[in-house]
Amino acid sequence: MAAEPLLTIRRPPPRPALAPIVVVGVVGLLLLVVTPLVVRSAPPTQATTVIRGKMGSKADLFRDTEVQKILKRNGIEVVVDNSGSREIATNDVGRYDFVFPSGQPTADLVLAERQRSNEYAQAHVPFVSPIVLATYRPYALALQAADVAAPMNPDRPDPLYYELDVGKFVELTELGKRWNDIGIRDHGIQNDNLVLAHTPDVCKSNSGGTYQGLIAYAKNGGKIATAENEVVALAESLKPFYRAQGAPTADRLPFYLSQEGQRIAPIVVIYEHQYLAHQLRRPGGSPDEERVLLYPADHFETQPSFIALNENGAKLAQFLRTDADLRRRAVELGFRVLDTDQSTASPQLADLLAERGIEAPSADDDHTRAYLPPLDLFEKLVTTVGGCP
Amino acid sequence: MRRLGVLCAVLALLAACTGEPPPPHTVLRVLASSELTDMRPLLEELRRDTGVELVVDHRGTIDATNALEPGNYQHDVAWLSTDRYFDLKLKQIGFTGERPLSSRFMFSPLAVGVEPGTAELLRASTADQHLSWADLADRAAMGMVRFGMADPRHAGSGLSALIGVATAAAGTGGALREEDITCDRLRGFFTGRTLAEDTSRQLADAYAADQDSADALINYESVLLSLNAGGTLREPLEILYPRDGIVLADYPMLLLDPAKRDSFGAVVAWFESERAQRAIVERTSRRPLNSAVPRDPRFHDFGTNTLYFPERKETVDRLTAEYADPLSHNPSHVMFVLDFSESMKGPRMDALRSAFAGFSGADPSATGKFVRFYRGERFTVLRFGGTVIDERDFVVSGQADLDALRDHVGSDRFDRSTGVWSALDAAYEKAAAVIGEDPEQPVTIVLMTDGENNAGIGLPDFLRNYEARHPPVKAVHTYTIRFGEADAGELDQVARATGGRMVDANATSLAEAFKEIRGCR
Repeated sequence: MAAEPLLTIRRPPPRPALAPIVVVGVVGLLLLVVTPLVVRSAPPTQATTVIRGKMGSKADLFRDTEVQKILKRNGIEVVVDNSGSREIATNDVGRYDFVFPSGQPTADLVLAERQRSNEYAQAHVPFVSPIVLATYRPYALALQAADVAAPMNPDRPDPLYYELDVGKFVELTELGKRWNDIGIRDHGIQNDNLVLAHTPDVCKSNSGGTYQGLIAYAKNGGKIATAENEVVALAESLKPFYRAQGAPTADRLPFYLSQEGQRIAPIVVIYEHQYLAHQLRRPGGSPDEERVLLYPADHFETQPSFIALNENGAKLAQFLRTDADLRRRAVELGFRVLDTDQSTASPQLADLLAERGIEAPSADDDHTRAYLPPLDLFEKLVTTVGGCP
Repeated sequence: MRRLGVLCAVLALLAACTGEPPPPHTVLRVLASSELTDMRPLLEELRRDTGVELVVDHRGTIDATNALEPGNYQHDVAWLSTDRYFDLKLKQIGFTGERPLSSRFMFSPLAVGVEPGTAELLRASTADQHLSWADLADRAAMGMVRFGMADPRHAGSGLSALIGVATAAAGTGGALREEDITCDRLRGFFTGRTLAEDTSRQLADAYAADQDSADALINYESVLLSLNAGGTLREPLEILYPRDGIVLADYPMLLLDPAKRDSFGAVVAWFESERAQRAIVERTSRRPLNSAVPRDPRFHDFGTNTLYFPERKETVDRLTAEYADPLSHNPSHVMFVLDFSESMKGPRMDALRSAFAGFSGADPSATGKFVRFYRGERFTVLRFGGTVIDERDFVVSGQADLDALRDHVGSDRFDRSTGVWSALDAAYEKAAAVIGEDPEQPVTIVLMTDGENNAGIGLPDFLRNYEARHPPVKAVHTYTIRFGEADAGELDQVARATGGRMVDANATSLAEAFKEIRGCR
C-alpha cells in the first residue's frame, strides 16, 4: 500500500469560498485494519465487492436504486446499517468498511476514537446540507402570523422556504403556548399540543444535538458558549424544552412524508437534502406546496463526513469523489455537492431545481451563520440536555 | 452447496426454470406482539420470495419488552407494536452498548371502536361532534359507555391507552412527566371499563365472543378494521380517533442477533417493497409507511394530533403502579367537611355551589370531565358552623343522586361561629365507622373552611385525638382547602400531619382548588 497519510480529514472551509484543501490531522505509526473482502458469487460475469457502512440519514444515498445501479456497474454493492450518527461514534465500528456520520461533531468523535486506538481512518466531506425544520404550510403560516417566521421570497405565491427566529420559537415553548394559542385554528386545524419541533434523540443522532446547539447559540445571544459552566447552564435551561417533546423517535422522515405526517408531528428537524429529494422525486413542475421548510435565521450547514475505515472504504470514497454519474445523482437527491477540491458548493443543485420548477433555497452567503461550541463542550451540551448514559 | 444444487435441480423439474436459484432456506426466530398473528399469510409469501422463514412467538408487547434483556436475547428478531418501552428501559438502566438495528414499514393508530348507537350518543355529547378521551371519561363515569381495554401491564395497546388518557387528563400539552401523576384522575374513566384482557388480540376475540360485554373497544385501528371485516360482529364498530391525542403503533422490527444481518435485511427489504406494502394494507388493515402506496378509504384522517409520549420509564412505571394499586379499583368514599359559617353567605356560597355543579357534569373543560363524580362513588357531606350542622351520605348511581348532592350543598343553613377542628374530629369518627364496615374502600377527607377556628376543640386537641386513632383510620388523609380568611398555617399543618396537603383557593378559585386535589388519596 502506498505511503499515504492514514488519518486525514478533508473538509470544506467554514464558508464556501476559494480556499485550499484543509488537512486537519495526520498521524503516523498506524495499524492498518483491513476487513476481509466479502465477495458474492452473484451474476456469473462480474465479482462484486460488498462494502459495509453504518450511517444515519446519509443512508438515503446508498438506498437509492439509481445509486445502487451506478455502483453495481462498477462492481460495488454497498450494504448499509442504519443508526443515529452519534450512536455510530459511541459504538465499535470495527466490522464496517466505512461510516458516514451526518455532521462534523459526530465525525470528530469517530476520528478521535480511531486516533486513540491507532486505526485507519480517512475522512472527506463530499457534500453539505443545512439543518432545517420541516413543517406543513398551515404551521408555517401560524408562525408567520406570530411573527416568528417569514417567507424568504415573500413575492412568491406559495413560498416553500421560511426563515425562523429560533429564539422566539423556543420562547413560545417556554411560555407554554399551544398551537391553538397561536391561531392554528385559523387554518382549519385543532392542535392543543405545545409549540415545539420534534428531533431524534440527542444522545443518538447528529441532527438532534445540532438543533440543541442552534437553540443554545440563539439563547446565548448569537454567541458560542466558550466556558464549561456557561455550556452546562445553557444545557440545563434547554432540558425542559427537550423533555417537553417527549420520547424522541428515530427517523422521522417517512412519517413526515406520509399522508398522516401533519397529524403525527407538525415540525420535525431534518436535513435539507431529505426535503429536496422528496421534491425532486415528484413530476417536474408540480412541487409539493403543502410541505415547507423553516431555516433557522442563524443558518447552519452540516458537513457529513465519509470516513473510510479500510481500503475498501477508501475505494468507495474515491469513487464518490470522482464518479460523475454518482455526483450527478447525489445532486438529484438534494445534496449540495462540493467541487472536487471541496472548496465551493457546486451550482448544479440550484440549476436542477430551477429546471424542475422548484423554488431554490437561498445560497448560504445570504445568511448569518450559527456556530457550535468546540467538540468537548458540544459533547457536554448534548449529554447534559439528553441525560445521555 | 451440493445440496443446494440438487434442490435447484428438483425445483427446476417441478416448475419452469427461471434461471435464478431459489434463495437458501433460513429461519429467524421472532418475538412479536400478539396482534401480529394477522401477518401469517404474508409470512408465507415472504418465505417463498426470500427463503427466510419467520418462526414467531407472540406475546403482549409489554411482556415481550420485559423479556428483552440486552446481551441475553432469546430471539433473532423482535417485532413489536412499539420499541418506545424498550428504549425507555435501556435509558433507565443506563445501557451504553450497541442497540439493535431497527426498521419500520407500517403503522396503525390507537383508536376507539364504538357501537353505532353509542357513537351517536357520544357525538351528541361533544361540542363539535369530535370525540375526546375526556368525553369518553365523562360518559364512562356515568355508566353511559362501557368499554374494553387491554391490560397496560401486558399489552401495548393497553399501556398506550393509559398514557393517552393520563396525558389528556394532565392537560399540559406536553409529554406526561412524573410530577403530573399525583392523584388519580382516571377513576371516573375506569368506572366504564367492563372488559379487560392481557393482549390486544385477546381483547378483540373476547369482544367478538360476547358483544354485550362492552359498547366500545380501545384497540389498534388495524385490529378494529379486521374485526369489522371478520363478519362476527352484529354490526360493525364505528372507528373514532380521540381528538386530545392518539398514539401510533409503528411496528419496528429489531435485529437482536447481528449475525443474522443479511436475512434481516432481506426481510425488511421485502416488507418495504410496494407489493408487500399493498398486501399489508389489504390483509392486515395497517397503514403503509411508504407514502407512494395509496391509502384506501377505510383509513380516515385522524383529524387529531399524536400526543407527545413520556420520555422517562419512571413516568410510565408510576402510571402503571397507580393503575395496579388495588385501591384504584374500588370506588372511593370522599368526606367533604364544609364550612357553613355566616361568612360563607353570598359569593362564597355561589362559588361552592358552582364547584359541586362542575363535578356533577357542568364543567365542560377536559380536566373537568376527567375529575367529575362517577358512578359508585360515595360521599359524606358534613356541614359545620360552631358545631356539626348536619351529616348526610350519598351514593352515586345516576344523575338524580348528583342533583340531590348538589341541592344539599347548595341549601342555605348557616351558623354564626366556626368550629373547624371539632368538625374534622367528627369526620374522622365517621371515617372510622366507614372503614369498619368496608376496610377495602379508600377514604379521603376534604376540609374546606373560610375562617379561623373560634368554637369547639383547638388544633392540639384534634391532633391528639388523631394520633390516638387506629392505624387504618390514621391512614385517612385530609386535604385542606383554604378559602377567605382561613389560617393557612394551621390548615397546612393538619394536612401534612395526616399525609394530605393544603391548596389555597384564594390563589385560584374554589372550583380550581377542589379540582386540584380531586382523586388524591
